[in-house]
Amino acid sequence: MAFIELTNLTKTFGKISALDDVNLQIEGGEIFGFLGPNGAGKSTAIRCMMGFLYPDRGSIEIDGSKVERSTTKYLEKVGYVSSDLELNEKWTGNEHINFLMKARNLQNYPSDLIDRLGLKVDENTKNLSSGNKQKLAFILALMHKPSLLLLDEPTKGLDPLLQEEIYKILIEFKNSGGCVFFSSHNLAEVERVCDRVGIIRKGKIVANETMDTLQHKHIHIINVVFVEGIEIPNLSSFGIIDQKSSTEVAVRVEGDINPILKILSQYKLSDIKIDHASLEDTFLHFYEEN
Amino acid sequence: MFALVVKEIERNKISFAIYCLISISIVFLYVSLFPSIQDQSEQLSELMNTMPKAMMDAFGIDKDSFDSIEKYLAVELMSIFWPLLVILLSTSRAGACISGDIENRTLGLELSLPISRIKIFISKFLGNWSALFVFCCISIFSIAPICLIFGIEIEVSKVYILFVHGLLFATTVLSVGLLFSAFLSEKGKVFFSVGGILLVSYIANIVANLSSGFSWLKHFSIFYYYDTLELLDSGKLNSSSVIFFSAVSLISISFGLWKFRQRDIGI
Repeated sequence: MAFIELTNLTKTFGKISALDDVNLQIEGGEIFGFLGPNGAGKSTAIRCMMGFLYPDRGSIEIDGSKVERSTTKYLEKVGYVSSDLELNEKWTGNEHINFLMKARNLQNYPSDLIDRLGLKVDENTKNLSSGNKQKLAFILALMHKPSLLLLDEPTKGLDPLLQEEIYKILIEFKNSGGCVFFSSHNLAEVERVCDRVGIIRKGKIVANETMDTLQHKHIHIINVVFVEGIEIPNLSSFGIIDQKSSTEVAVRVEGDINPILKILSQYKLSDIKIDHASLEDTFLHFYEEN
Repeated sequence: MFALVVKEIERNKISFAIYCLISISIVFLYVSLFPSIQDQSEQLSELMNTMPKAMMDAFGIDKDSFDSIEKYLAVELMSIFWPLLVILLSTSRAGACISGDIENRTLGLELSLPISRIKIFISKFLGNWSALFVFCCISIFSIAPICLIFGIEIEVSKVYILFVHGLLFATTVLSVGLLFSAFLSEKGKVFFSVGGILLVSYIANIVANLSSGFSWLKHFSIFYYYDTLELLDSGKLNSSSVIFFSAVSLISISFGLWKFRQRDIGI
């Protein structure tokens, strides 16, 4: 059974369809990257999973528990970080931690996490930088040792060093069997930490594949250098052409690359380079095509 | 849930302390003025006799209003400044605790806990009600020691009745505030809505007192049921007031709870 299961999840705001029949299954021990531009429905999906928003149709199951108005027990296993969420400005970091310790009946103070992230917990939250606020948000999300992390653009505005530390924490969390649902705009970080990626566009899932499959299956960039004096064949039927010089051409091929290789094999080449497209290319491809 | 109640009690500690200090200062001011007002009670009674009866009725004053400390405080303190302070305190707390937390995007901290929305709402009510209880204790029970300082005798049982009556009034305003807070996502709208309702209610009570043709309006006004002069005259709580305050509080809390449980909170 999947750790997170979204079935026909639909949510509308007036005439705007934020989620349209979304189906997703995410396993434990997996970091799932959820990609999409602003307004695509990423945050709406996470808020539905947190029980902040109620779906119009469909269901959500987290670790076997159905997410409904009447149930909040599953939240014992969930840690939540959102770049949109604000902390109480009148409290110090310590007051936040103590509040959650009492509210969640926790015995152990999260000293290890505080030391690791290097947060001054006696400082008033309103005096903290955005990076330090995000550190505190991560401590609050992890201090009860959850088995699922729901992260809504968690590294927005963080410096590279802190981002690196967060990635390490996420990978350790995954390796200990935890599941991470990670929405982001930052394609490089998704490429770096996620095992699987879902791409959402106008509330619909347009791709849901492992990182490798997504990068390898869909788009290749073939850079061909012909021997001087050879007339370059017309390759436009294979994809988008970028004529770099009189002898060099780059072709962005979607799908099977064998037909173009068959054509190229008939010509004398001085060089050929085949690259998998970056996640950014793949992401743009989905947004252009769908 | 206890942690959530404590969080609500401790909300805006400094402004709460300022409200308490203001209320004690006002009690001090009114009690200190009483001996000189009592000295001139005959002149005041004559002055009252020259005023239109309807106007006196409208503002709940009669010519004997200044002959005892209880009546004087009921008319001057408990009918004007004290309810005004309670309305400001209750509405600001009710508006801040749900709508304000949604507006500031801080409610997520509580919503992400494994605690049902029903418990979150109830803890918000209990926490803020406890703060109001403390305010009522401080502002009303301070009357007795302050009277003692000025050597004025006061019936403590009447102070106790004023406290219960005042607490019921404060609970009603808080409940109506929470109802609007559960529906709205901006605390300014809560203040505006509750303030508007109370203003209309106050006007309705004045109109009902001034015009016999509109006397039925009084039944829809919270200020008709908040009659401290009659309370001290009779020396006991008016049952219709208790029923009105309890019913409005219960209905408001129930609808607020239902809405808070149903609504989407987009933070």
